[in-house]
Amino acid sequence: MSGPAPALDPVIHAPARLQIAGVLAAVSEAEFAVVRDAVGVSDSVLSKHLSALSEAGYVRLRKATTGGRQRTWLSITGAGRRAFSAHVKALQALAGMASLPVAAE
Amino acid sequence: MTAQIDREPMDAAATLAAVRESRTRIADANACPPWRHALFATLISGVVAAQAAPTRVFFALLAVLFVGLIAMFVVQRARKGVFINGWRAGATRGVSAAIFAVYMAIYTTTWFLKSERGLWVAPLIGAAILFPLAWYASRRWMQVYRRELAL
Repeated sequence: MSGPAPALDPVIHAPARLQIAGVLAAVSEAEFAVVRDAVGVSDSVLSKHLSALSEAGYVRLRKATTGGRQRTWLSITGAGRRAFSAHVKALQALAGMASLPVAAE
Repeated sequence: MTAQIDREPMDAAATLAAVRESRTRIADANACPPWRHALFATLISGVVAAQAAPTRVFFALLAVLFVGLIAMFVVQRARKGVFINGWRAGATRGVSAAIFAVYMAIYTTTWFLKSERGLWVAPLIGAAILFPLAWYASRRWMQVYRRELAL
């Protein structure tokens, strides 16, 4: 084995959480429903993951009333952005291992 | 308790593919139609062209153009449920900085030519030069953004 294993962040390692972080890292702010549809999860599943991400300080939630309806806007924090970036790099390194040729006997 | 993390290369590739797919959905949902690139170019070239108007009209035009620019972003945010700052960190910032520098150069040059040399037509020529550049920059920004989202 060559070199240490890439560091993976357990907070965002769950695929849905990484997808949420990935979507939020791509925008400045997005509405709850937009993130839910992009990730393809239910309201309750998204809420659960958001609680964990928010608790870790990776995601910020903001309530705003627009047109008489209360909406939740989500954004990624600096720590969340760094964690996402590092995690993606680690996954890319791991995925790269899959394409390495198997050593000849 | 230590979290159990899969370190399988194939799992990593599948996870990255899922992230890429979610980000592509966001990029697709926020893709700008051609008219929006043209509207952006019209609004910022309009600010340059407005210098050709008499002072009182100039300020009225400036107010209308800035309200138009703000409205463009507010409407987009309300309709799409997403806000993407043009100065966001990443590869797109270079495109934003480049068009801003071009805009400032054209604005200050045309301002100088009009106010110091009396060339009232300079702002109109400047706007005509800026329009295609701003249109191209807007399109380019979106291309760079999409490429960045593909990881």
